[in-house]
Amino acid sequence: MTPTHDVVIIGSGAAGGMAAWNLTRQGMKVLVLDAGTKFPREQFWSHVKPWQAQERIAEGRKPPQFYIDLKTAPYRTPKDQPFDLARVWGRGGKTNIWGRVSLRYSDLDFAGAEKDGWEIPWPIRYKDVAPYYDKVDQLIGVCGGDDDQDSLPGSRFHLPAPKPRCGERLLQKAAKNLGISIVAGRRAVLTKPHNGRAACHYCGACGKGCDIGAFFNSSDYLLEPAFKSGRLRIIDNAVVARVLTDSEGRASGVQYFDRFTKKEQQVKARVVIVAASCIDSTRILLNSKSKQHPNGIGNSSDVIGRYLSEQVRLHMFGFVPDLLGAPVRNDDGIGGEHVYLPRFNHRDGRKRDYLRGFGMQFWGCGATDNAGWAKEISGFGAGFKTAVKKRYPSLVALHPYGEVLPYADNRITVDDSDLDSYGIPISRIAFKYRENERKMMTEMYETAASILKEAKAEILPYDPAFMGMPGQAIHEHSTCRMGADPKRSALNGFCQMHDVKNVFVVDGAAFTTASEKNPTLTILALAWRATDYLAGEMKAKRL
Amino acid sequence: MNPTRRDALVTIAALATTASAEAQQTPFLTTPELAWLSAFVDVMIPRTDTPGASDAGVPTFIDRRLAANPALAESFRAGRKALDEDAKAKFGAPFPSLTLAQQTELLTPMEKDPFFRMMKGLTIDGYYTSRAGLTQELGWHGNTFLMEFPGCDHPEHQA
Ligand SMILES: Cc1cc2nc3c(=O)[nH]c(=O)nc-3n(C[C@H](O)[C@H](O)[C@H](O)COP(=O)(O)OP(=O)(O)OC[C@H]3O[C@@H](n4cnc5c(N)ncnc54)[C@H](O)[C@@H]3O)c2cc1C
Ligand code: SF4
Repeated sequence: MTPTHDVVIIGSGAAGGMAAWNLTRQGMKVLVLDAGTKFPREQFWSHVKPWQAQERIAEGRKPPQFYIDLKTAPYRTPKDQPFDLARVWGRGGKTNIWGRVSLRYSDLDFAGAEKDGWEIPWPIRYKDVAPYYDKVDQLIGVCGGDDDQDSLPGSRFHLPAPKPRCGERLLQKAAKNLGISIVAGRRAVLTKPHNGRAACHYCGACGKGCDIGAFFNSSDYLLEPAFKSGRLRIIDNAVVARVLTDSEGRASGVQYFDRFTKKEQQVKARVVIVAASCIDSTRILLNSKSKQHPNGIGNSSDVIGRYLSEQVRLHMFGFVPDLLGAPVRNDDGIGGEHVYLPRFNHRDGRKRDYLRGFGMQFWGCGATDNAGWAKEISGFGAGFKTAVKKRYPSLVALHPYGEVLPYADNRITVDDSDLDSYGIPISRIAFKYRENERKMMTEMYETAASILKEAKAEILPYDPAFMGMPGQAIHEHSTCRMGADPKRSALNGFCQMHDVKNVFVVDGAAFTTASEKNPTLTILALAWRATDYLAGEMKAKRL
Repeated sequence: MNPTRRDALVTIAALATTASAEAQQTPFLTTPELAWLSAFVDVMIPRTDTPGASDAGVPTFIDRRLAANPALAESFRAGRKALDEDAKAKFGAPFPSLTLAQQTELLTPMEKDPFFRMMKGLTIDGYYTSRAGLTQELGWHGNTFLMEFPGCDHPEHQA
């Protein structure tokens, strides 16, 4: 007989890492199953220049490969509905290379559905989550300003905001003329030493992984401290297939396969926390079928797999005249934009023909380590070379992100006859944008273009019909949503299954709506809140 | 231009997965093909007061890309042949042997041609990620260690 663990957590990204840290801290014995292993920080190519990287690759060397390949982890899509799913298997998951934008949701998000009647509202409000946002900000370190808006609350604990780059300032100025505020960005980057960790040195390499861990990642910030408690065990390369149940339909453990030997294993648990990232968590739940759960564990409502909400976005580029031919500055900063344009479309009283809203990010303004945009500059030869050089310091980039409404048939399913190399049914993602997203996109294009026009920028050609490839915002949510009504939701406000009390789902799958904002800060806050509740229930012997 | 965030963030990782794990020592293209390629990329980005594309090692960059991608290599060979035939029909000699004026005349109407776009794209990718292209031509001096990030200090840029 194998021992029964207090809690088994599937996945160690933002969600699983937070659950592991918070529970071990409170005396629980925790086992984490992770499909990958630790990414060796000393092997990151953070300070390898582009031309050096090319030489290394030619020598047959590789940086750590964060993204999992499709052979190991396949997924399907209908022919005419592509979905580009980015997944990282390994400790810390996608937080090793995430964009670090850390924005709190507001009640415009939590209560949005209450106002417009589209699908169900969240069972919680900003006031329920705010104390956890406060704690997360302080734990992981989020830099930002104190320029709160109704759509962007809670700046109490920010580390100093980095100064904007010239291009960002010029956009800020142009937007202001249009009555739109661009505020200081909020990012989980340490702009000064924090909780014993070194500050960022402004190398701009975050997308390659930070060699000193100056931005939040689950592995260094949550798992390593949790190990110190002596109560955390991680089994690496454990590819989870199913949550197992007992004769009463309660979770009894987890079935997994060794990633390399493909040998099947089982562990027993009093409580199972599912945190494999939205789509993989959903796949695990749908594959956890039994007599009591013919439709997948905890899925009597048939909402699991449905309402997949990503975000819709676009990219617009321009060259601001004030910076054409200007001296080239080191624009790396903290590796992403230093500003953010919070949602504003609810404020001006104008009636719109779509629901919900959008915000805007600005990554890639200024001098960067390539000039891919030059492909859009016509011509060749000496004149072309001059044209590129002149524009290089003046590049500005606008990336609006809009909320995608939850639709019942934007959906993940599994097919028992379509198996991966472990014999686990593969997920099929059927997702498409609808009328609401198209209409919102029109205003997103118009807003971005109007800011560029106000800045008198030369705008790079774009196609206003382009909707982007679904999946590429890398913000998947809502396929196991929380809600007050067990008939219309799978989880309660503490990420606990309505049907199966000892199963918690703490990643983006639990979100009731997507919002226009990046989800990770909210994942961290909700996972902390859920595991506080869970610890209380276990201590009170209700679980 | 519609790049993805992943394009921006994982160029290196992507390169590493498209390249074979084996070291690539010898050039993939033949010597005449490489000579042709050098001539072509120098028309795209010539030497001025800063290095040109072949000075910056762009032919090697493209050679590696083609080695890793048979379809791309196929397009290169077919496109080269077609361009040389055009050059011969119009000016009586293959592309590299033409004068710059003739080369320019031949390529100018090709702005939307798939082969031209592919070759211009590869040249841009190679040149503006090379040491010479990035640091000497563009003046990039990033990916370093700073104590402070100065940010914008121009009063005229403030909102
Ligand atoms: C390039 C990029 C930029 C991003 N930028 C931002 C941003 O700016 N702001 C933001 O808020 N978010 C951003 N995100 C999204 C962010 O990374 C995710 O929201 C966050 O990591 C989600 O946390 P998670 O724990 O749900 O999943 P992940 O971090 O993906 O972790 C999933 C974990 O589950 C494990 N796992 C998966 N399948 C299995 C299985 N079958 N068995 C066992 N273990 C399994 C994985 O190994 C991993 O440990 C970005 C993502 C990417 C890739
Ligand atoms: S910019 Fe800062 S956070 Fe990003 S990789 Fe460099 S040191 Fe790390």
